Amino acid sequence: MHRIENYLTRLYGYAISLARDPETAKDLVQQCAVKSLAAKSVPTDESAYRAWLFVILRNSFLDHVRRNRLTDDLFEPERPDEPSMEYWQGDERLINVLNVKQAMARLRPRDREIIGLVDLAGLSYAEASKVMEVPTGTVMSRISRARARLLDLVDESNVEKLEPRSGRLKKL
Amino acid sequence: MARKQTFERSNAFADGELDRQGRSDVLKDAAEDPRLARELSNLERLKSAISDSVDAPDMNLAAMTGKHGGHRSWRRPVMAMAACLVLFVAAGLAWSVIGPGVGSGRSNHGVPVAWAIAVHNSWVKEDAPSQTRAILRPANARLNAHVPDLSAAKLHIAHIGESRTLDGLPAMVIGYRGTRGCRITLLIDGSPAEPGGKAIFFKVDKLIAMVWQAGSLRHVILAEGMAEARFRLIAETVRRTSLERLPVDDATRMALARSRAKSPPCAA
Repeated sequence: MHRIENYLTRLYGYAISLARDPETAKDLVQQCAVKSLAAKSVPTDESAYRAWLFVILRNSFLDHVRRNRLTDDLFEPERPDEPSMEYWQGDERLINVLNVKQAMARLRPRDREIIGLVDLAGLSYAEASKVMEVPTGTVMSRISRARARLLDLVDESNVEKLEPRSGRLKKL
Repeated sequence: MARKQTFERSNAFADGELDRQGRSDVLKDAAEDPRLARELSNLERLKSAISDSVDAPDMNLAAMTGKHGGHRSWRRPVMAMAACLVLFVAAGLAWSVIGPGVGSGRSNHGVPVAWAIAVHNSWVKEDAPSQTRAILRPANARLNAHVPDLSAAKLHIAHIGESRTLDGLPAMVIGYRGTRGCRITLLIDGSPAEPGGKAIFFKVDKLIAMVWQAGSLRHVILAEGMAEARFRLIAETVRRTSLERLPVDDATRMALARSRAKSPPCAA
């Protein structure tokens, strides 16, 4: 087994968080695999190798965005609006796979990316910081903000306040 | 401490990014603050739901590097080269891991290593059986074995089957698969091992394994490329449940989840 094979599923997790489309995500992983296998120089240290693979995938995604003239806010400055980060008041049963999947689709690309790197690809903060070329402290802040926004979306998308009914039920 | 910092610290705790002192501080604070305890629990749930929210397709490197469409013909030479490289590396790895054991019948503590590796590698392509429970019951009953739930370590049963030891004894094979490339195989058969449930731990190349006796059954648990500390905790959990025949308790489930968060993915 080639060492990249250990990372294919995790690369796909990151790719789907960036691209949101399974076919594009598979293409990105394929491009990453081909580029890494054809590379003349490959990091020997496992952590460096891992980060290197994710950088290749990220660059492939950015090429894809440019080539297809898509818009993406990965490089735009962060918006000043902060999620509340107060203690989450929602019902913990709302945090399930279906709700989280729906909420993930509504996250901003920048938030999806950090969640893709940390939660789907399982990178450490230090490794994620190498991939995104930001300090480790920024990774720490970004993952917190992204999860806070995700929790807000989980809460919003599932809680519909029912207005109390007034009057009598109509007779059928 | 400002709320933003507290939340960042909770996230770092959930991601296994805090040092021993930091973890200890968080646990101490959580014991005194139910809101913080609930937050940590919610973050665990969230992380788990996120990692389960992606259905990764079968990512086969050979198929992937061999895939080409009309508009990608320029990639063919690179793909051919990549495929050759993969085959070369795979052949070398197979010889280094399986070859010596197969040729010499080498064993560790009575465990035929080559057989264990061959069984471990045999179920790699399979996905979780749809009738896991139905399959589990008769197999369980036949060998009177205890099959532990390792979902807290994010390892789910992906294969249940039977094999035969080199001595011809029936063996039950339980394969667990994780979400970050980890696979664990639990082999249960009637061969004698160290009596009294005493565990023997050993490593061969990237293979890491533990063998013990529970009742009349020999248990072998093995993985490739898994962080040793994580493997030891999982193996010890399985050993204990096989001796006590009880489900994994809450404290151990928590420890398994933390160990996974702190460990790197498996690199076979």
